[in-house]
Amino acid sequence: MKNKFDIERLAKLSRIELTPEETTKFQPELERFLEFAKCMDKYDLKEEVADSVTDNTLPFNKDQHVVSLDHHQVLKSESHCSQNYFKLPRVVKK
Amino acid sequence: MKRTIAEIAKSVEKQGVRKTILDGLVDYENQSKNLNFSTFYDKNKVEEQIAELEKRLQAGEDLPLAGVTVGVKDNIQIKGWPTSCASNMLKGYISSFDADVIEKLKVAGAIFIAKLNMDEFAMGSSTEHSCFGVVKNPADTSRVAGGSSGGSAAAVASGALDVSLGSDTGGSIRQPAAFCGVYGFKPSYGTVSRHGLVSYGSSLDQIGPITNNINDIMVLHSIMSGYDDRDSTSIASQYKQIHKPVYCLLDEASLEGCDKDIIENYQSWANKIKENFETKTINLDFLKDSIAIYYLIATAEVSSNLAKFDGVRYGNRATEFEGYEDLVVKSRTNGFGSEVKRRIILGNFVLSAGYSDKYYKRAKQIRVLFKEKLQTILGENGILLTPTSPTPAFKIGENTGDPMKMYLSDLYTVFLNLVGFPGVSIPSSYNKTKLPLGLQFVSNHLTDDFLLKSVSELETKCISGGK
Repeated sequence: MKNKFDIERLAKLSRIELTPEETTKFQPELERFLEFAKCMDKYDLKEEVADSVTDNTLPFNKDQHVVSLDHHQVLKSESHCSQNYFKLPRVVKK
Repeated sequence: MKRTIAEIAKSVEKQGVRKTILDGLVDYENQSKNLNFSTFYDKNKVEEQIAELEKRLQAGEDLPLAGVTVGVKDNIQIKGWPTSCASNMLKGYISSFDADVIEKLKVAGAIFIAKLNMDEFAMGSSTEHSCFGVVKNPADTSRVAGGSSGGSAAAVASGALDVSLGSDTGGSIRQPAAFCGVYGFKPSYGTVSRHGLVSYGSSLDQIGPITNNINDIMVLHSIMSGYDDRDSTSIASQYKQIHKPVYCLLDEASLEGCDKDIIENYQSWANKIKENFETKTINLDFLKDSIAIYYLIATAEVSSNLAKFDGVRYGNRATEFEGYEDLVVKSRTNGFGSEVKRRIILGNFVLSAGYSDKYYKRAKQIRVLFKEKLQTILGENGILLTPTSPTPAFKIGENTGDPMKMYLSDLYTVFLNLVGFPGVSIPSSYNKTKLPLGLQFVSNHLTDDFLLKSVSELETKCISGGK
């Protein structure tokens, strides 16, 4: 692959639009970082992967009803709300 | 006015809590205007809290933090206050709940004065990436206050506030503390709840205090730490009891690339420590590589954490769009600054099909190695001494054009977040142009008490001139 860092595709994945200037600027910066990250190649690795830095196993939440935030309180400061719903454009087209 | 918590308690006894607080805030607005460390300040909210505090004290409540003025980094939620994360994405957003640390500090009688400026979503090392503008260093206003908790450090260093809260994902408490000449502590990962902290890197973030002395760090940490079942990574802080430290001092190779003043300061402290304590010389050969590992993991995590900012339920929503997908893209494009966009894009690359094993998985494997290396170096009772930063505070604008240069300035801080160990930065001296020089002390996981007590004892024995 000639250019593995396809910045336009990644911007789309990130749901961000880049200006042409940002695309021109970010591409070499991020490629430079990936070059720097090649330092990883020298390490002789075990299979173990640390998802948590502590030795604890992350617990599952208990399957029980808990009181959440007051809906009215949460929604009252949001301007895109109506009758306890968030208003937004139709997602599924007719 | 710089005061300790102990001095404040005496003042409250002598002249009441209202006068103590207002005396402490006498220069607040001027300092905030000059240094730009505040994102939100409302006198009415301060007055409400003073009135509440007076009632509680009259009712006989024991409030160890009564009279202490606290600033809070603007990524930590206080109910009814704005939480912007210094981003256009969240400008105007009002928090609907208190973070766990805020709840704990409220119980102890703390009074919250302001939300403090920061790099956007905690991404940065200079507080130049803020929608509210740059924070200036009180020691030299042509220089940065460090980041991302630049506002928190500047507010305390200037004497405008007694203490502040920051968050530390790759050095964001310790480095600004060093740049501004104050104390900053990153606790052991898991000991301070992240409930109510807007996430940047979930396996790296910790909230910690910034103060003018080591005793206040200890007081605040004892109040803020503790198990919280709302944070799945929270652990009960059962600190290991250790007594006599062995100080691990860096060899010459591990100081390569540091500013001359930083090296001289380090050597001066190392010599004093050798006179008073048991020491050993060590090499940290993984420091530079830890920057790559950190940015691979942190950007992967932040690309996921910031996916929730889509303009639908809260925060910035684009005003012109065609359809749902366009709403999301335009809201995010308009809401995020360039450094945030850069890191989200890198994070999505690191997690994308065909690359996640090569980059993200591999970075997590190397993280395990680094933790083992550092545990071997420290042993049971080791305390590692490093400079907090390879340079003192740099000029505003000096590093913004070169992200890699900015990332490399995190040389001595990011490895600590990767392994989850505690670290404290203390103001150790000044250079010839009176810029503060910080030193960092690091110990093993869950040895926070040992670390802080040892550093307190060390300061007493080894205090250098110029502080």
